[in-house]
Amino acid sequence: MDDLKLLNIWQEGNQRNKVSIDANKLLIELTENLSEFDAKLKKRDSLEITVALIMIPIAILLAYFVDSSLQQLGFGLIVPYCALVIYKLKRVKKYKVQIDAQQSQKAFLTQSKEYLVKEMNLLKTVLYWYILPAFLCAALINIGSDSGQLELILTFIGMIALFGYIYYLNRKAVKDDFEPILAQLNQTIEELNN
Amino acid sequence: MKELNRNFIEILESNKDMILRICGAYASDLAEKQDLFQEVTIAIWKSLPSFQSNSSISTWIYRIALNTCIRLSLRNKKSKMETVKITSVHLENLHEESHRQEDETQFTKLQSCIQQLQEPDRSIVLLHLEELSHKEIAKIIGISENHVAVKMKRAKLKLLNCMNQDHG
Repeated sequence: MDDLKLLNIWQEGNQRNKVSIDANKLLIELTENLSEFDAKLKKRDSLEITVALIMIPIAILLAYFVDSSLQQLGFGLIVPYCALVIYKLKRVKKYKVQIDAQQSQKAFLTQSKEYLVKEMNLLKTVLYWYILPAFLCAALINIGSDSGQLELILTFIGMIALFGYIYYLNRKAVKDDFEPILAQLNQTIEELNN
Repeated sequence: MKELNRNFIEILESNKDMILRICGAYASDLAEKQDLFQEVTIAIWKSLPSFQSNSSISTWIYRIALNTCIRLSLRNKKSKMETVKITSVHLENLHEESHRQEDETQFTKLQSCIQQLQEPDRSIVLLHLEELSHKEIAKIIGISENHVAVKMKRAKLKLLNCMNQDHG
C-alpha cells in the first residue's frame, strides 16, 4: 500500500458522515447556554474561596466573643488559614485561564502540563496547607470548650476520621486522575522533542 | 458582534468537513464524534475574538481541533464530560449504495491504525492525510520543518505497517 492509496482511503472514507448546522439556533445556544454554563462552572469553582471569605469575619466575631483564650487563638488562627486557602486556590486557577487551544500543539501540551503539575502539587500538599491547619484550629477550639473528657475524645476521633478521609480523597484523585494524564503528557512532550 | 457571529458561521460552515475528519480520528463512534465536534465548535467560538489574521484560518482551525481532541482524549474516561448541550449541530451517517464493502473495510482499518498511533505521530499523520505541507504541519505542531520530516517518516512507517498487517 502506498501513500496515494492512503490519501484516497482517507478522503473517500470521510465522506460517509455529514454534518448539518442550524446557524441561527447555534448562535443562540452559544451566546445564551454557554455563558450560563460558564457562570455555573465559575460559581462551583469558587465555592471554596467563597466559603473561606465568609469564614473570616465569622471567625473574627467568634474570637471576640468567646472567653477561653485557647478558643480565641483557635478562631484567630482561622483568619490566616482562610487567607492561605484563598491564596493557594487563586494561584492555581490563574494557570488554567492561560491554557489556549489556539497555540501550537507543543505549547498547548506544555501549558497543560504546567497547570496539571500545579494542581497536583496543590493536592499532594493538602495535608500541610488545608488539613493540618484546620485540624489545629478545630483542636484548639474544642480543647478550650467546656466539654467533658469523653466528649472531647469522641470529637477528636470524629475529626481524625473526617480529615483522614479528606486526605485519602485527595491522594486518590492524584493517583487515579492526575498521574495517568501527566504520564501521557510527559510522553507526548518527550516524543515531540525527540 | 454581528460581524463576529457571521464570521464564525462562515468559518464553521467552510471548515466543518475538515473538523469532522479530525474528530473522527479521536472518536470511537458517531456519538463521540458529535461530542468532539461540538467541543471544537465551542473552542472556535471562544477563540475567534482573539484570532490574529496574520496566520491562516485553516492552520488556526487545525490547531484548535487537534488541541481540543487531545485534551478530551487525555481526560479520565470514567469521568463524565462537562459540557453545554448543543442541539443545533447534527451528525448523520450516509448510507450510500456506492460504498463498496472493500472500501468500508479499508477505511475502518485506516481509522483504527491512526487511533493506535501515539501522539504526536497521530497528529502528524492526520495532517499529512489532510495534504498539508511540512511547513504548515510544523506551524501547527510547533516543531521545525526538518523535525516534521523525520517524524513523518517514522509515523508513516508505523501506519503502513499497521495497514499491511492483514493486507495481503
